[in-house]
Formats: sequence, structure tokens, C-alpha cells
Amino acid sequence: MNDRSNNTATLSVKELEELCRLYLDCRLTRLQERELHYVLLHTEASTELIDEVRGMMDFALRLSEVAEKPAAASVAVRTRWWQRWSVANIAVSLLVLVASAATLTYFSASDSQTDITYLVYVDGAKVDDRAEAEAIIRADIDKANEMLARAAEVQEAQQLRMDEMQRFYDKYQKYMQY
Amino acid sequence: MKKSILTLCMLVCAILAYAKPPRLAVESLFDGSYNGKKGISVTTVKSEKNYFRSIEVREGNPDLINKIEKLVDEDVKRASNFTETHSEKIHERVFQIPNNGKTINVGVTVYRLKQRVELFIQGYPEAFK
Repeated sequence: MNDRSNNTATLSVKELEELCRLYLDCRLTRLQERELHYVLLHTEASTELIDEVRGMMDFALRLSEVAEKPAAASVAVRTRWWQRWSVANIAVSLLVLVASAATLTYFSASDSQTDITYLVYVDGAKVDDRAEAEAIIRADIDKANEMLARAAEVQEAQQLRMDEMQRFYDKYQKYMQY
Repeated sequence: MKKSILTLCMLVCAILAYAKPPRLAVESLFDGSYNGKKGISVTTVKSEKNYFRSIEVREGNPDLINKIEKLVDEDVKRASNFTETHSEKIHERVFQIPNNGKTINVGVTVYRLKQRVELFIQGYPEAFK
């Protein structure tokens, strides 16, 4: 039976019925069942047994086709839903990243665009003369340095005072011990 | 998906907050809005090793003087080193703010009777990044 080159015409009705009985007894392998189905589809032989088995095989085939379809459909739906969710998620993430990168670039560009060497306004009037501007800048920086120097003096004086207070305290502690 | 977007947004906000330099409140005085205003003198000079800005507000701007004092109050909270002196005529504050491995010096002098304020910010350019 496994020899496909052998035509179905060589199988007699009795042989076909014997094979059908073996099929009904579940004594055929899957391959043999498929081959028997093929033979029954292409044979004109018709007896009650052969027709019954032919019908059963057709029904079993249709059942297997219907059973596969919902499983395939549900798997496809799951895949499609997962794919849609994944693609949307990635798209949103990329959009947010691009927007943040653009914002960072804009901020850094804005900062660099307002960078200038010097700019001087006196009482609301812009000083364009370079020499005059430099003199004003020098005066302002000197004023700031004086302020820093005064602050440093205050801190130094404060530190000396604290050191003196610490010495006095230590002396007091020693005195109290006696 | 909503959770993912929210998490990503929070992450982006955190990155943005970290990436943007922590500007001092007093730096808002040098955004150009006081340039060309009567009674106000502004100096800005930037070189490779020094970024110096100063503003002097003369009489007739009590609101701006109050605003400057409030801005200084905000920045003083970040100071690592602070010196304050009071006298009958002058209230002077000088403090330093560390940032980016460098030091920013800020000084403000308020002349009570003359209703005048002088403020400066100075440091390496990297200190302001």
C-alpha cells in the first residue's frame, strides 16, 4: 500500500474492505490511514463498508481543519495584539526621547546664542566706546574685589575672635578643675 | 502602556532637571530685561577664566531693590561661605556658592539712605554650567 506507483486499480474490493476493517479497528498507522483515504477518494469501488469509512475519513478531515482554524486565529490575534502594543510603546518612547533631545539641544543652543564678550549699560545708555567700556568694567571688578576683601577681613577678624574665646574657655575649664 | 509612558516621562524629566545647570536666582537680573532702563547700570564681561556681571540700581527703583534683596535671600540658602555686615548706612552680604567644582562669588551692597543697590556675580565660566 505504501508503494504509490502501484495504482488503486490493483486493489480489489475485498482488499479495500479488509483495509477498511483494519482502519475501524485502529490497526493502521497514520501514514497508512492517509494512504487509504487517498485510495478511497480515487476509487470507484463502493460497498457499504467502503462508503462508511470514506465518509468517516472525510468527516475526520473536516474536523481537523476546523479545529486548526480557531487555534491559528487565536494565536494570530495574540501575536497581532502583542505586536501592536509593542510597536506603539516603542513609538511613544522614541517620540519622548526625540522631544527631550530636541529640548536639551534648544536650551544649550539658546545659552550659546546669548554668549557675548562684554556689554555695558550706564544709567540705561549702552556704552559702545571700547575704552570707556573697559574702564567701567575695570572699576566694577575693582569694586567687587574690594567687597570680597572686606568680607575676607570680617571672616578673619571673626576667626581670631573665636580663637580667643576658645582659649579663654579652655583656661576657664582648667581653672574649674582645681 | 500608561505606566510605561509615565515612567519614561519621569525619567526624561529627571534627565532634564539634571542636565540643566542650576541657575542662581540673581542671574535672572541679567536676562537683558534691565538693559537700557533708566537708573540702572549693567555690566557683563565674559572671558575664558572670568565671567563677571554686575548691576547697580539707583534711586527711584524701590520695587527692584526689594526684588534684588529677595533674590539674594534665595541664593544665600545655597551658600557655603557667608559674610554679612550691618551698619547705619550699609547692609552688605558676600557669599560663595560651589558648583561644578568651581566657586561663584556673589556680593550685594544696599545703601539704605541713598536707596541704592550694587550687586555682582563672578566666577569661572565653568561654575555656571
